Amino acid sequence: MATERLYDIWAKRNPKFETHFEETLLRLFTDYGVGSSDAMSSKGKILGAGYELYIYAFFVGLYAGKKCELSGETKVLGQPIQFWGNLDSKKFRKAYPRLREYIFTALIAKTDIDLIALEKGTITEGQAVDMLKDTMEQYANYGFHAIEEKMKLNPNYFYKTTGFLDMILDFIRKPSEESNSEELEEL
Amino acid sequence: MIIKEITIENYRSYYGRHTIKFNDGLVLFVGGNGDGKTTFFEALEWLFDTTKQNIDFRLVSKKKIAELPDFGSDTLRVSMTFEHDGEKIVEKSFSFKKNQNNEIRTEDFQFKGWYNQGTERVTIHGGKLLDRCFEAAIRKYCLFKGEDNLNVFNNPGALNYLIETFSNIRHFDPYYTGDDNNFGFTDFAEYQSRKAYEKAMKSDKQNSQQENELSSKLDSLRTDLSNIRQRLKTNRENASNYANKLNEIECSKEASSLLKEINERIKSLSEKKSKLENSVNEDYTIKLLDEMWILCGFSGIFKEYQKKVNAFSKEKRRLEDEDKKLKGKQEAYQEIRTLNEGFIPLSIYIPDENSMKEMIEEEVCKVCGRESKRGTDAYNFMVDKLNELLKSQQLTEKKDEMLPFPNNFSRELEQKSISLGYSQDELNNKLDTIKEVIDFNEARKADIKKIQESIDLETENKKKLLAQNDTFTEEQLQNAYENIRNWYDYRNEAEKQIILLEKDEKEVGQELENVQIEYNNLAKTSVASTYSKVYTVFSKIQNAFKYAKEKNTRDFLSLLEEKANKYLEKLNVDGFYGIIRIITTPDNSARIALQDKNDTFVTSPNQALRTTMYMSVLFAVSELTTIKRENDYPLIFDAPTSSFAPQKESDFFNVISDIKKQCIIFSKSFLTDSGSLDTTKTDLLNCTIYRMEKKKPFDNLDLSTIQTVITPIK
Repeated sequence: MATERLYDIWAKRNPKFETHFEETLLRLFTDYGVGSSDAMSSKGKILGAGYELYIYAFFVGLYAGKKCELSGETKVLGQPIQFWGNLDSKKFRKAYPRLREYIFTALIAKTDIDLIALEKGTITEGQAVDMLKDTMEQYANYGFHAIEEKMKLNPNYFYKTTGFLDMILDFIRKPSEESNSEELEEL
Repeated sequence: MIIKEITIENYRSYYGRHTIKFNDGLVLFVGGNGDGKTTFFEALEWLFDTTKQNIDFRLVSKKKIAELPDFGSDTLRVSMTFEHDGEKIVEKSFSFKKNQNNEIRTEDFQFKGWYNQGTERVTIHGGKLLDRCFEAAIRKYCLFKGEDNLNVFNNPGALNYLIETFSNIRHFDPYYTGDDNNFGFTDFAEYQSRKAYEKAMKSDKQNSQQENELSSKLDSLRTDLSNIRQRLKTNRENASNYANKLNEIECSKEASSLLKEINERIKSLSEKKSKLENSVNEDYTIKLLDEMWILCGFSGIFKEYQKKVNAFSKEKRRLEDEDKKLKGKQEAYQEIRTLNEGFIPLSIYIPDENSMKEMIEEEVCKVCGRESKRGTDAYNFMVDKLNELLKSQQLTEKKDEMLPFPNNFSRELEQKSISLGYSQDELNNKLDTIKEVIDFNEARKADIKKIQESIDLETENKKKLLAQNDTFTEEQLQNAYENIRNWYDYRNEAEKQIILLEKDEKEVGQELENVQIEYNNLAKTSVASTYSKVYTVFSKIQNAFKYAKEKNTRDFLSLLEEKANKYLEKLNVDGFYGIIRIITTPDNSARIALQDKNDTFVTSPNQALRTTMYMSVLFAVSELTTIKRENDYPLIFDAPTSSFAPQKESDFFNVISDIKKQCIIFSKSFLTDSGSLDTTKTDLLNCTIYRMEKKKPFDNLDLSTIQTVITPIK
């Protein structure tokens, strides 16, 4: 019998991304690779730790309803999921640990895991969590590509105050084809 | 330099030869208007001018010219004997001759100097000797004519000169300059060790590609940083210049009540604007995470999760029931008796433990909304279900093993569904919250825009008011207005640029530091490691010198302020005097300002206060220099106290006579109404006094009868 919660096993993981995004996006918008710092705004960075852009990219993929397999060289983020949003040391910021739980529920919803098999033990929790992580990486990977695409069209897009918000709201206002079809099914 | 003796011969009103002895304290020349005070002062100025050969015949004593026979000649001469590492003499002279037409010709200009070397007297060019002992720049702090020229810092570069000459900063020069074209030792050592380090890095083939990338990055960042700093310097200078110009105009119009009203309105509008600006928080990107705005589109996905978890739970229970049924356990049949009624019961975790207890206590089924009084079937059903839930939580491992599902993730997922489900409303409201915040910010921004328009309007009125001048024609007025408008624009633009450039400077500086760390890390594993350490040491030493030099400057200025304030207090015994501040401007010049104790600037002090303020700084400067005798020099003032009341003058001279400093002052103080010397007052002074007056009799209308005589009084 599994003694650990699925969520906890998942939260110990460290998701991957395509290495080139480190230069083109992560170092541009976050303190990724610089170490923790209170003074992110003083460096002109919009976000704090590298995972913050990762979370953002994940939601872009999730709301777009599109995943993208990782290719080429990859690397892992510096911090495992369980530390995301704790931000205790940051001034002028609020912690958001509950966001991790929502991400987890989204992954359960969007990953094709045979939960009965998991319950029976015919697939291990490790395997299940691998699948969740895989889904997460693919959504985030799509998100990163989409952000990069947006910047190609308008290099200043994310430097407006509403830049990051607008991209998310655009998906909400114009639901993706996938979620449309889901709604239709429900109806 | 201490003046010992001055000889003036045939210089304007100084007919014949006059030799005056000086001591190293205060020497006061008292004379009325036209008695030759300014002439004496100007004779010294003439002597001290090492830049040109001025042999204007108008310098010659008219009385001497009148007495000169045809073809006769004589000499105009000013000489000074002074102490500066031994006794030295400078003498400037030219000869003048009367021709047959009674015209005066001047010739034979001589500027000579003498000093003793051992027992031998050496002759040298007077200008060279003077420049060596009493350099031109120092004379800025020496000769002051009238009250209006006492502000030493009016001269750009004066502050730098002062600091370099009189603070200890000069001693840093051999070690640190910070100037690429004029290395000090630590600049040189830092530069050479960096070059050696980079060379060693380049020779290391293992890291050559990375080294190339990083070093070219470093080079480009260094160039960027240097460009940014250059632009920053220019913009700071511009901002300060235009702000000074506008400030001067504003000070000159300070009395205008209209201007005061406009300034007050601008101040109040700006405060209002800044309050509104503080209420605007447009960190939308941060709110996406910190306020979880990013979940604004999540409710559909969460429903999907709930649906999936429900289906999973239901399927699991169905399988469990089937399993139990297959095993034919009576107990199981009883438990799933409801199956006979044709439906699968809810998971034992739904409703949760707390909700079940609440419903039992209140005797109401909140699932179907009906009463379920104690003793009824419905009530018993709820009690059984709660017991079943409690029992399930105590299931032993042994029992688990007998079940078809050894894991119980369904419970975890269901619990998450319940706990997060409580926040469903919050999720649904996210979009509204976002809209509210954006609307709020936009409304405040619109308010700010309106206030800014009012500020612009007031500022425009202010510019027009500042341009006004009664003596201006319409066209001049328009030009003045255009000028002021341009200065405002230039100042604002420079200030904007400064903010941006400071941000850039910080960012590029930080990036440079990061790349340097990366570069140094690369060195750790290479042969260049030792070079890297040597470079780091020299770089740190250079920084230490840099900070020490900066600290020395700050210390010197605060010492100067402190001393100046002591003099200001002494010179203004019974009146308001304030606190002197020496404000350095970004272009490395300085401004002397007066503040009250609440840090409010006194924008237009009265003339006497202004004079004592500037003189206090001069005395402070001179006091600092007496500590270094080799740079000592006399202070020579012509009529510095014209605006002083009589009592203030006495206080003033008493203060000065206490200073251990050679001060030569020409003044019309201490004269009675009839023009004679008021000895009751001069007796109280502890200094050398000479009386200057016109030799009587003289013809009021004939300059050639005017002759100054100097008589020692005490």
